[in-house]
Amino acid sequence: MTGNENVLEVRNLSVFYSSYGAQKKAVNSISFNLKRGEILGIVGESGAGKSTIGKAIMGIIDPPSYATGEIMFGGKNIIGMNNYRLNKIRWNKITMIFQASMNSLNPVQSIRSNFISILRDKMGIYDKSESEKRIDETLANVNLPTGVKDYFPHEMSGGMKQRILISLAMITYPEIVIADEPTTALDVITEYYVLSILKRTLKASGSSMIYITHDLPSVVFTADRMIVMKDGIIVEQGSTEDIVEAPKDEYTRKLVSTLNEVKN
Amino acid sequence: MRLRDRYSRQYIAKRIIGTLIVYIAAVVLIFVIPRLMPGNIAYDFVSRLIAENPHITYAKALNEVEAEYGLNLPIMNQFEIYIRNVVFTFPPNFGTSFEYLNDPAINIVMRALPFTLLLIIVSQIIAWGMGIFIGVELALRKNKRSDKTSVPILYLINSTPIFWLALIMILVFSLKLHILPAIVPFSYGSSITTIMYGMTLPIIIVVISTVPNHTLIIRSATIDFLKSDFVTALRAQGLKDSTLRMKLIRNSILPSITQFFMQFGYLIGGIFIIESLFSLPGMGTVIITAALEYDYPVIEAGLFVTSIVMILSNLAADLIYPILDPRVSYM
Repeated sequence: MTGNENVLEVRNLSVFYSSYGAQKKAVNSISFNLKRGEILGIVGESGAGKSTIGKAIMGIIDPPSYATGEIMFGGKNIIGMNNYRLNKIRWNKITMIFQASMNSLNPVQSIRSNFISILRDKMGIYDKSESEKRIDETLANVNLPTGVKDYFPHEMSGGMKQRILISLAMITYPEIVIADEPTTALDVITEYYVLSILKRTLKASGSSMIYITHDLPSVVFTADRMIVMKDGIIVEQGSTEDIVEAPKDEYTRKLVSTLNEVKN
Repeated sequence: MRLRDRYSRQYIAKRIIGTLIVYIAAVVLIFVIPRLMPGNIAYDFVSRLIAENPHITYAKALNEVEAEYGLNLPIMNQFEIYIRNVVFTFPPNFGTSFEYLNDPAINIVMRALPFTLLLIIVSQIIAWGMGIFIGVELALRKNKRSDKTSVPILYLINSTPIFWLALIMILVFSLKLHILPAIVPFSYGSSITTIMYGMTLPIIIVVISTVPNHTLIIRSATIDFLKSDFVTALRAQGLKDSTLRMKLIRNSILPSITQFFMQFGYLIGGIFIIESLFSLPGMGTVIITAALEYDYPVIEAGLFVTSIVMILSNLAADLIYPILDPRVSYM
């Protein structure tokens, strides 16, 4: 499945957060590539800058914070792109799955309206029966009954919300999906259920995914390749198997040893 | 959950009982307050009668008037009659006006009510709509120059007394520019166009003086939820600007709906300054005239209708909220 063509090239990406005059480098000059159809895991403790990478790729880092370096997508640099051009990439080409624990769905609108605004604005589908058909299809892909489209976010469980977020991200058949801790709030059984649904839908659409998490076992389960981050820098990257078999860095070794302890 | 399921029967019953309690308290206060005022209604009434008809003897007239209005009865009996006439009669009977004899007080008030409601409802719908629009726009421009200059101006207008604003507006639009009338050219039964022409300036004044309040509340509510996760998610979706804005407006309506009804209740009691400035024949003018003329039945009827409108608008605010916010259900 994994090709050799890079869909996303990140070069020397740095992100600076500033608040009340103080500046903090959240991501420090990192570089990596994402290949077509590949699942790339980004692991690290909280505060390592994982989520920031996702935000930088979506172009939602708000001033006075800013990013430098290059995020090349389709031959163009996402950093420094204006909102108009970013909006043509956002959700058409690159989508994002937010944490379920984050309240990422509009609380006062039904699931249907969440889908409909994307169908209208991003895919130009205004026809009612056509959009209903699309919503039913995409809900079926994540094993949800079609009745949930009338629900409001607060009426659903964490696992259901998470699957809604996945189907929202997959409905436009994007080239890249950024999943930011998509299963953090879920129990282990639901977590692997959701992850296998995610893998299946990715395979069906041929999309690549950047899978951001602090949970190493789920990366081993999901990712083809992985990046280990600590304090804003990449300490190790390579295929998941290689890293788990023979971690080179001190931090990675510690991380992998927790995995082995669980096994034993 | 469907809309109907968001209201339990128990909640509605509770809310209606609460409303009834407030209603009864209002009715009792309306009986008590005029009787705590200094002076004697009958003396005043009789001296006015004598001024117009010098042949009447004072003592006899006083007895007759007291008997006619039941003022010689013990206070508990008066209260009983009052309750029977106000609570158990429809329309409530407050007696005839002292000023316009033979005209029931409640009729005088009910004739004035539509003008006040027209002024308040139209101005508040406009002010609320503008408040939502401006508030969301300012929140999106937070810390930019347009926001930084607008907010002090809004506070300035918000703290400007409405009567002063009205005088300035009359000075400019009526006396200098001669566009709009300074005194309303209509009364009960005038044509719609005349009424709208006369209403324009009062409505504009109420709109100007209430827009800042709505705007500031919506602005700060919007700033709060712009930081929330779902807005970040919406922005990542790269939706059209208009779609995003509609979604923000939809959310910012929630904190302002209570404000809308509170403002409504506040205005129904406070709009009399504008009404009397423009000689607009609304509730405020009627109550003020009645108070100056010691026209007790009309004062009572006026207070009664004002309380009813306030109570109903509070009830509406409570019951409308779950329609707009699916998270809220009343159990």
